[in-house]
Amino acid sequence: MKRSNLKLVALLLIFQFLIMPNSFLIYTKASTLEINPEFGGAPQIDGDLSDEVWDDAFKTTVNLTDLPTNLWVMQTDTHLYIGLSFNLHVDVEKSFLGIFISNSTSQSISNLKDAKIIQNTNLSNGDYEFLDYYINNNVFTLDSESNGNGAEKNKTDDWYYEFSIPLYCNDPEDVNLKYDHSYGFNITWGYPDVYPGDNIASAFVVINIQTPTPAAIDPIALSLFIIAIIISCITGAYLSLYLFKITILKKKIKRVIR
Amino acid sequence: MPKFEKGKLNKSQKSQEFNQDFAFRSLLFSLLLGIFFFIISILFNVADIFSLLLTSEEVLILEILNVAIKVLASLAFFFFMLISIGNYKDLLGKPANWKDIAFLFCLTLFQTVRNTFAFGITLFGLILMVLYFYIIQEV
Repeated sequence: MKRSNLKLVALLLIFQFLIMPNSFLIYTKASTLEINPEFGGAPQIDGDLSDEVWDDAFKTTVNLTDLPTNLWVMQTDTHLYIGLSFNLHVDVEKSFLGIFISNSTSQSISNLKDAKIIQNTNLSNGDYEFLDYYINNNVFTLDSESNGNGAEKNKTDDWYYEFSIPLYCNDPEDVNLKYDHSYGFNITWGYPDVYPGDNIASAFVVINIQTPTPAAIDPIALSLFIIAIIISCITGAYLSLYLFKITILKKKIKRVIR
Repeated sequence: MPKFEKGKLNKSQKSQEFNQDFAFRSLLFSLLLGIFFFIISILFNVADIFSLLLTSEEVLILEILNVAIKVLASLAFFFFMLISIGNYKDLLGKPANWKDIAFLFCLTLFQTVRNTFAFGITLFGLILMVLYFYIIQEV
């Protein structure tokens, strides 16, 4: 083989190696889980997922890296509710579970703008706090006003988390979740209390915020309402007639007295 | 003798006049109260303004208060209207008949048709009220 050809082959091989990892990533990247939340009632945010309200939730399982996690998603007209549970033996004092919200469906870290975090402060006492952070280019800044809520419950190695995230939140430090729009949610467990954290397990899901369907009109309730209106009109007419009769009677009495 | 008879007639006439005046004032005052409670009943039973003031969370005490206002407004309407009609018929010289009472009974009862509890309690209250008036009339 000629020297020049050899150089060309070598260049081609180098070029192929440079391209390969990217194309490999593109084709092997797992398809992102898309969730259409179910509508239901507003659960009490206390870390108790046995609340009957959660029966209506969309339920699935995701892997926080390799940690199987139950993910429940539910929506009301005003809030998005996320329930999470997993089994994990934790012996670190300051673990956290965070939901990092993207302003689009992109997994890119630059698109993550909001973080709702439950931070354990004292594992032995079960103390935790809910934190609302604003993310700007992977720099986490505590929100001046905390929006949403979160709670944690721990039974030996079973961990339960509940989050409520407001929709149409106009706070510039939060992602404004709107109906009929999709947003990426990065669910991250990690430790200690530095975000996004070095020791983390995470999963990325896309949640399609649903537009509430107008409540169906109950025909019985509507009929009863119409009956009540008709009866009120009849009563009003009856009272008017009665008042008219009384004025005539008063005139009659006056005439008789004279 | 005629002078004595004339004086007697004037006294009974004055008494009759006083009774008529009293009955008329009672009729009018009861009617005004009836109209007042009818407006309250419309606001709470038909427009259901109490539910509009409530949040999505159901609080038992507020629910009880809601039903109580509905029932009391309806029963008060029936009570004052019955007194008013009774006085009106009395002034006309004939007693209130069953048709009048039944008509008023239905008008009162169907105001609460939107709420099952209010409807049930109002029905019970109305029956008690009618029985009470019937018994005191007989006694």
